[in-house]
Amino acid sequence: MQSLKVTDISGFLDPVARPWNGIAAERVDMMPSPLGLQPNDYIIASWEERPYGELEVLSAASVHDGQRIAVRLVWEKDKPSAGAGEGFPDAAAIAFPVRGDPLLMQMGSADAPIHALQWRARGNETRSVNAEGIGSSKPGPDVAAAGKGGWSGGNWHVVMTRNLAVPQGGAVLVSGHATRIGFAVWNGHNEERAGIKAVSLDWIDLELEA
Amino acid sequence: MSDRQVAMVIDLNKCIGCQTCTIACKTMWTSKEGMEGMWWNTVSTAPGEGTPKGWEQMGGGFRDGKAQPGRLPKQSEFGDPWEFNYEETLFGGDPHATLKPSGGDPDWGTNWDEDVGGGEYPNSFFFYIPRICNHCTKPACMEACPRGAIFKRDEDGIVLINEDHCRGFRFCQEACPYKEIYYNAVTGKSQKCLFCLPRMEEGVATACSRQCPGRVRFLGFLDDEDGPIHKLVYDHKVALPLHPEYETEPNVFYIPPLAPPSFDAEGNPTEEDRIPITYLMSLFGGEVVEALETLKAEKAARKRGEPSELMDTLISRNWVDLFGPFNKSPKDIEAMRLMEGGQLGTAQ
Amino acid sequence: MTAALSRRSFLKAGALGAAGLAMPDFVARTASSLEALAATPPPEFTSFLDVYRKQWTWDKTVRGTHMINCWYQAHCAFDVYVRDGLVFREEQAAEYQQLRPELPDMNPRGCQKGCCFSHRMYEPTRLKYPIRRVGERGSGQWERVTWEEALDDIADSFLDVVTEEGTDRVIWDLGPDINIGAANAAQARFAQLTHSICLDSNSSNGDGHRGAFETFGNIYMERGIEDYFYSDVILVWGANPVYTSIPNAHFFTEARYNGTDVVVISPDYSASAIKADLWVPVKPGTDAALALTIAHLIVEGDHVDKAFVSEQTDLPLLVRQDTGAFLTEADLDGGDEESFVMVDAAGGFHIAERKTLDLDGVEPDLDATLDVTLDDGTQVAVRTVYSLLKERLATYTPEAASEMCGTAPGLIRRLADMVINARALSNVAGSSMNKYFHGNLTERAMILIWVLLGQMGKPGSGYSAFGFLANDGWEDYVSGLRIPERMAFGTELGLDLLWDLAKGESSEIFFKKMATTNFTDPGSTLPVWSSSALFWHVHGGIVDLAEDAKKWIPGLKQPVREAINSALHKNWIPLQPAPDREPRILFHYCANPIRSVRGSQKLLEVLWPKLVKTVVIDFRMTTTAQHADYVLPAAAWYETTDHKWVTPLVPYNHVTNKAVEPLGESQNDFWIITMLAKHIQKRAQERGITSIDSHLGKEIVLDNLYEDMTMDGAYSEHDVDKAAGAILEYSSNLSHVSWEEQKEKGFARYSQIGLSPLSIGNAGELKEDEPFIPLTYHTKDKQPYPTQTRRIQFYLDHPVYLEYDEYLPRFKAPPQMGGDYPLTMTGGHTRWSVHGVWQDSRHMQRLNRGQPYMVISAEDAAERGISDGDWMRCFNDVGEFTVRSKVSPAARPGATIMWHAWENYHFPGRKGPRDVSPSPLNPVELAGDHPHLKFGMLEGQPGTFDRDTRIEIERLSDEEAARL
Repeated sequence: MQSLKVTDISGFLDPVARPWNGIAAERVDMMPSPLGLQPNDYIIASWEERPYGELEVLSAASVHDGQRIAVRLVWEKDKPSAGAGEGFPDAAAIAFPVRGDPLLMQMGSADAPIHALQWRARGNETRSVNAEGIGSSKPGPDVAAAGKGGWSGGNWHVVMTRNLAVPQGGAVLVSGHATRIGFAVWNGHNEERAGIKAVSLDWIDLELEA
Repeated sequence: MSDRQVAMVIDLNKCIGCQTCTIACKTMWTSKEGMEGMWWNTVSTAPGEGTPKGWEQMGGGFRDGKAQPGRLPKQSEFGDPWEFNYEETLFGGDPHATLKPSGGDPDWGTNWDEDVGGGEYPNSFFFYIPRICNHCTKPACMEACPRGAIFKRDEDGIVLINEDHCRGFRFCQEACPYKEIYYNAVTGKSQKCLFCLPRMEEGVATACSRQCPGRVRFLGFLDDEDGPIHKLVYDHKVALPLHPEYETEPNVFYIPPLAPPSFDAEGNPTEEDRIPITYLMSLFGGEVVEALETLKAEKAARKRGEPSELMDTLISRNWVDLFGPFNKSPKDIEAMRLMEGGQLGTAQ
Repeated sequence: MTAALSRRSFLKAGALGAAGLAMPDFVARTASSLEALAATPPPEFTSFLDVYRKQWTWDKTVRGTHMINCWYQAHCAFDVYVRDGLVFREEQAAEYQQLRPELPDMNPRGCQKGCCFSHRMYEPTRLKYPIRRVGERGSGQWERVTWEEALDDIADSFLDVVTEEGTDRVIWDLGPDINIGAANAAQARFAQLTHSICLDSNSSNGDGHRGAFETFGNIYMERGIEDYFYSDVILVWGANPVYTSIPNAHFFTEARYNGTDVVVISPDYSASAIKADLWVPVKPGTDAALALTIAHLIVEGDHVDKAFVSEQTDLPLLVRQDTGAFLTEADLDGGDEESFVMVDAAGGFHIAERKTLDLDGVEPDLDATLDVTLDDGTQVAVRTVYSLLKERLATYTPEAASEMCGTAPGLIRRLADMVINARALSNVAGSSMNKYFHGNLTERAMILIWVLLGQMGKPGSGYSAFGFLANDGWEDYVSGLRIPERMAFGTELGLDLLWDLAKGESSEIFFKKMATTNFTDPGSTLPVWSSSALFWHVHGGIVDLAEDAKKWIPGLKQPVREAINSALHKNWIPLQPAPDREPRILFHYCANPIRSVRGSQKLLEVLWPKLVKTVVIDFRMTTTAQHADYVLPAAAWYETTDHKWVTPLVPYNHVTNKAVEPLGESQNDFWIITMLAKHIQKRAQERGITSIDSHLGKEIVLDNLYEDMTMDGAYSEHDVDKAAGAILEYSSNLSHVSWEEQKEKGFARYSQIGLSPLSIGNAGELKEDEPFIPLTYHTKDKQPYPTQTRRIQFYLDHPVYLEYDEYLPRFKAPPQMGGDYPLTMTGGHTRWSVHGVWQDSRHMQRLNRGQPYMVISAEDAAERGISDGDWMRCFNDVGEFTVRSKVSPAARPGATIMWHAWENYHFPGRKGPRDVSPSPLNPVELAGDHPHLKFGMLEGQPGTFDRDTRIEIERLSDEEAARL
């Protein structure tokens, strides 16, 4: 997919802002994260009989202005789970390889880490995280991560934004260059969290328009 | 497995269900926002649903070494922390207002079935069972955490949730067969009994132990052969883990309850146990039969005026003997805990 | 082995910086209104564990306790933890010394209620500034006023009332939490200086132990808690120590491990019963049948300790069969009318000594039945009390008793065997029996067991009734006089007392008699007391509820109203103000009668319209406060310095220290009452009022009241600490440890029982290294008892007792108070509150059910289609209330349990169990003109009863419940 260069990204910070209508969206096939890759026996045992990650398709679009990138995700959800109180929130993430050739399904490794932005309906907040394998995520570098989600008409619309430039440890994005992007979506109503999620089948190439 | 293990023995014959432990824990640890509904220590009437309601049917733990799926307990099952319409009732100018818990007439609370129990009058039966995190040798919570945020300390076997790493995923809550983990919806973290680590590391017994007016709780290292824990668990074999079949190897042990004799159809006393032994076996396993025999025999020996090391240990005439090496008073270490000008005192 | 786990380095480092602590939510909410936390910096920490470590830090601790009457379990020394000017938690000090190696120590005294008072005192129920009613009484409309405004207005009403209508129109309604410390001394001194009336609420609360009073002439008898370790059978009878003696309960569970048998006798399989070696279920209110059967088996099996009963009791005394009166020396030879007669086996008559119990070799014939020739030549048949008793007991076979009390004969025999074979037999005192109409008979029957077996006054052995242990300097402080001066001060009764002393009466008899001067003597230097039960019934109209009492109480000879009027007329019982003098001002101090008085609905209807002012002094909003004109905010127990009475169970004076400033504008009680005197003086001077005569004829100086109150400034309103210290300094039993030392440590062991009328009846020596044993001055030292016969007395020849056939203990079937309904509404002290103080606290309610409930048996519930948690209507001929059900197999079919202390505002429509409890007074308890059946401090007054209340219950429909 391509991240189109726009002059001013501020018109794209709202996921239902009109300018997004002019941006072509990519259809991303999703699948449940593999049970066998879950980090422990407990999670495997408790989910082996239980469906999860049932989201089949996600719509993704992106723009950048040379300073910041915005990725807009749209997916179907019959009603939102804000994760208030003891509920689990709907959530979504976009991931980028930091270096090497990390396996998306395994959330990278020490040699090949992953940097992600994760948006959660709880608090409608987006945070930057790094991962070097399953269950290893920790706060990522400061990329001025921001995001906003809104639910309407049976769909979540979420925009996540970050700086292209990053301090050490993050995934560097450069206008005119290509990288790869991965996606994950959690269905809060189904108590999906951590590795129990829908993921894109693999990395998808992402080209930042020069 | 840790290098050493602290453990607790709770004597159900001395527990009077007063919940001082519950309150001691509450004022010590769980008074902050988001913790209103947390009771890291509970005392339930058995038989009964317990806390959270029906926890023994919620799964978790292991069977034949294999992790068992568990269900996530809800706050309402732990008991909602009711708010009350104090302002309206007491100062609000409505002389007919009734003081009520928030959320309508409740049908469950943390201690809802207090003193109810089972049986049929006059063969009614019940006893109290205090519970905290069992700081298991094989903690199911620790194994279930995908983030490795739960750890068992080498030096004492205390199991802790590293709240700096916890993301509130709550697999631990599901996996713990004792349902001793709570979720803080304000911080988004899971929290549980710390075995009062900040106190224990200063040699001061846990709040639930030291504040227990029933003198119910013994503390110590499992491997300390001179301590009360070792005597009760290994020598006299009267202290048993709760639901050993969950296979987490709890480090909280219970002295099983005696009860007055039951009655025959005419109301005359019989030799039958009032609490069905099958029920006690369902809680403490088959060893409970022998443990109760031992308790009865030793009590009878004392009645005959004979000495009994077991009874002396359980009586613990000198209160601080309950706590093994954790026998300091907070006063003893007060100089180190004083905040001076917003700073922790450094006097030692 | 090292004591501690390895410590993290953080504690050694100052590296954490100026880290404030996140305050607990409950405190933050309160504090925000005080802006106390405005300057608190945000939390700063390095790891999650450090956050917890810092949660266990504090600015200071002081020793504190709770100035509440939790009675048999009182009291407990706490460390009170303070941070940022607020108390945030408390923990037991647990420094009580073990008395002897073979006895458990009493650490760590405390309970769940005391352990959360730090939170309780900051709840929204707390009063923070004086408020004045602006709408109708009870309308809930309030305005905030200054102390100045409130005290001036109350002072003006006070002056209006006392100058126009008399000082006895001003009433101090004193509840159970009076402390016999400085706060209470201020109240008492005020009352004494102004001759306003103090209500003695003990019997009204149902705690009068009338049976013990009738038998011993004294209710004060309680042991040291460790003494239970010397018992081999403990009867828990009429008590529920697992609920009401939480800090003491371990002595019972531990005694059990030590080989002692614990027996619990109760209708329900109670929280105490589960700890028993034998549980004996009994129908509510029928325990006398059980007790008399055991007594019968003792006599039948020849287990009576004849030497003991001959020496210590009235059983050898002769009773005239013509009049039912004791045979006196006067009858025989015109001698002393107060000397009673025994006969030996050889037929020789002996006068029972009044100054000693020592028989001096006389062996009275316990079974004597004979004819005697009186001084006037008439011949009458006389019999010993023992022979009468034996005859009466013969009807109480286990089989017959089983019909009365519902306990199986085999179980009664088993219980009797345990009791009879006990080496040392004790009981656990509670105050359940006094709350039954015939509770006096029950208690007399119970005492009979101990006495017949000679199980009194020895280690682990003896009957306990009413626990109280107080300093004896309080009255000196209140009167401003020391005891010798006070003794000389009285008028007629004073002279009478001096005569007693000259006659060589025991100090117990002397000081108990001196206490009765409070009730009647115009020259008394102490406050004027009156029976609270009588006050509420006569002035408050509760007697109206007893119109149908004849239908409820078999054998009632006259309407209760007539019995009261007749007793008042004969001066058998004192009531102040007199029935025709309407009360005008009520000060409710440590009291909440609209919640606690049975039938209190009448008070609002009958008494309240008579009142010019009703003033509540409390730290929290109560039901009574809701009906007050003024509510004055008192300091909570961690906000003042004072000390508090206890019982011989735990014979340690307990001290609370001011840990923090009182919240808002609240002030300690001592300040409030002293300031009231100051404002009365000021307004009197401004209005040109100087002095008046009290209703008893004493000059009351109003324009100098503050100077008198403060002893010319020696104890100003700011001197609660100093006054508390002075009281101890004046005490013979607490002056051995300095006040400063007591404050530092939080407690001090009493050196003696002392001379207070509230303690002296314990009649034994308090030693440093032994648990206290009561009544040994009688059992060992042969001092006489303060009764008519100077002996433990089972026979009462008072005309009313003869009329009601209660001259000896007997069983009477429980009355049906409120009408012929199938269920008995029993009750008892809740686990979750002491009086109302914690009843609406968040913590306690979250561990309870959040709403009032009535415990009903599974069987009664099923019969009525009631499930757990259903709303029910509970009703009888007197009233009704609505409550939820708690269905339990532990409850006895036919008996419901309504644990007490719910405030009226807990119930829909604000009607509660009081509304169905008519609680008529018992005519025998109104008896007077008798050597020992007369009013005294906390004893000898009529009780009120709610445990015989009969009700029916029905499930509310879902629609009705939804409308609540």
